[in-house]
Amino acid sequence: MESTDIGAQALVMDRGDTVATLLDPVQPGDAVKLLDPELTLLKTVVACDSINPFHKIAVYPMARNESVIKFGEVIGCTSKTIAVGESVHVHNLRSAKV
Amino acid sequence: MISGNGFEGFRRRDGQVGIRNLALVLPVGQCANELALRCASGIDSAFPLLHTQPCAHLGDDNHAAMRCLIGLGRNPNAGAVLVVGIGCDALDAEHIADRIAVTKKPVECLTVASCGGWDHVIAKGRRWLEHQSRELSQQPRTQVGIGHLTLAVKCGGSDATSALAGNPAIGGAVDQLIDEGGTVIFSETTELIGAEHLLMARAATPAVRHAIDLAVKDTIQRINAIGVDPRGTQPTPGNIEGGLTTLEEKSLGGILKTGARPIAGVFSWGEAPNGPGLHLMDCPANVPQLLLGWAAAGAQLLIFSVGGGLPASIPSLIGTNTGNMQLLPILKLLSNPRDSSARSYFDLYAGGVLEGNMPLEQVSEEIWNRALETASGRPTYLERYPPPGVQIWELLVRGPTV
Repeated sequence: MESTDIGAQALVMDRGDTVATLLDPVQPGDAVKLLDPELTLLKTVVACDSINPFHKIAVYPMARNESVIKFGEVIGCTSKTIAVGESVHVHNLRSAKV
Repeated sequence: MISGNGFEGFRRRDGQVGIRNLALVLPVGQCANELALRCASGIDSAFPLLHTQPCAHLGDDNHAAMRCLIGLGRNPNAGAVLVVGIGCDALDAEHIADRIAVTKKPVECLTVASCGGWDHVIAKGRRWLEHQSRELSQQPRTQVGIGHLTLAVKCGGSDATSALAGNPAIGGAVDQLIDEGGTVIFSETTELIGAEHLLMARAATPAVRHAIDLAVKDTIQRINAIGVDPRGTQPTPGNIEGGLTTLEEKSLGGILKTGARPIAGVFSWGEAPNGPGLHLMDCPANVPQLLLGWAAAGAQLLIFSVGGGLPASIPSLIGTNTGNMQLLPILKLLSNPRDSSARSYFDLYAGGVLEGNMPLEQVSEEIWNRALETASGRPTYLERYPPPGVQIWELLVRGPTV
């Protein structure tokens, strides 16, 4: 599960998602292969944060107060501008419901 | 997947089928918990189900508690029921016993008032339970159809792997059970927030669609009414550590365990589903209340999906304290492959999906097969290694407590 030569991987659950779920831990500068649920390579992004496995990485740039999409659904709203490759978690994503 | 061959259970006179054969000892209020414990102590298959019903509740809370206790007595995993009370309880013991007895299973009701003293309840209760225990031990299991199974599904200690492995795998088994005429109950209304539109789209009727909408809106309203950010409770600190950021994200992963079939009904805590199919029990995500509610609704088996992290390091059940719910056997499933040291605490493992060595369908099949084996008598991890104490189960209370 550690970062290896084949590079870190992240799952994009739905084609329209703006975040992916990392399968491996990443450090800034690591290349991350984005895979769809059938494990087809969609594209590669470069991590700009240190992120734990199974946490989220941004795959599109997002403005503040923009909906964040995972599973093809809204999982909340950005509280900051987010660049591709950044960690997306409680520091920059909040609930839009409660 | 195996289909059409059902399981071996204990047929009840009302047509229901138990997967366990317990002599349930049911106190009608918390003052009678000690009586239940003393009656059941040391008797094979006697299960004292202690709970928090006081004399300090009003109206609907008492009605719900009454329905819940009757439902617990009617649960087919109980082959005989001893109702115990003081005689000055808020809920009438005789009424509860009479309503349980419509199932035609052996029911006895003993109170301090009717027996002429505390010690007489214990002496009479123990004699009755010893007799019932012998009778129950002689009852054989018989082959029954899968339609007799009512399954509850829950996730707890969720992390981002729950949505990738355990929950969708459970969803596959749920779909199969529904297709074969069984009943499945999911709950935790709080953890539907953000995913309610997907469930409403699966409602079998406009009334069910409306009921899902109302249940979720009511929960949002109760959270917002006190003006606090639920983060840290929903999602929990463990969820957040595991990569879940918002309640919506947790909910969207959580509902995957409900599969894809239409939602046939919505019912309140303490009630029972009105037929087979997939049902929502409206209840907060609090384990002791959920387990009581599911058992009262007639569920015989629970599948509990755990993500990983620190919650996976608890050998017993997340959210309970020291005792086992014998009336509702529980299959624990682990998703996160990084928590391999905790794997021995679980009945089932779905992490192979993330390790790339097991397709989701195969995990669904393992869940299905294990559910049928458990229904036929195979003990669960928690039945083999029960926690050492006695749990006092919590009733759902909307208040006020006065």
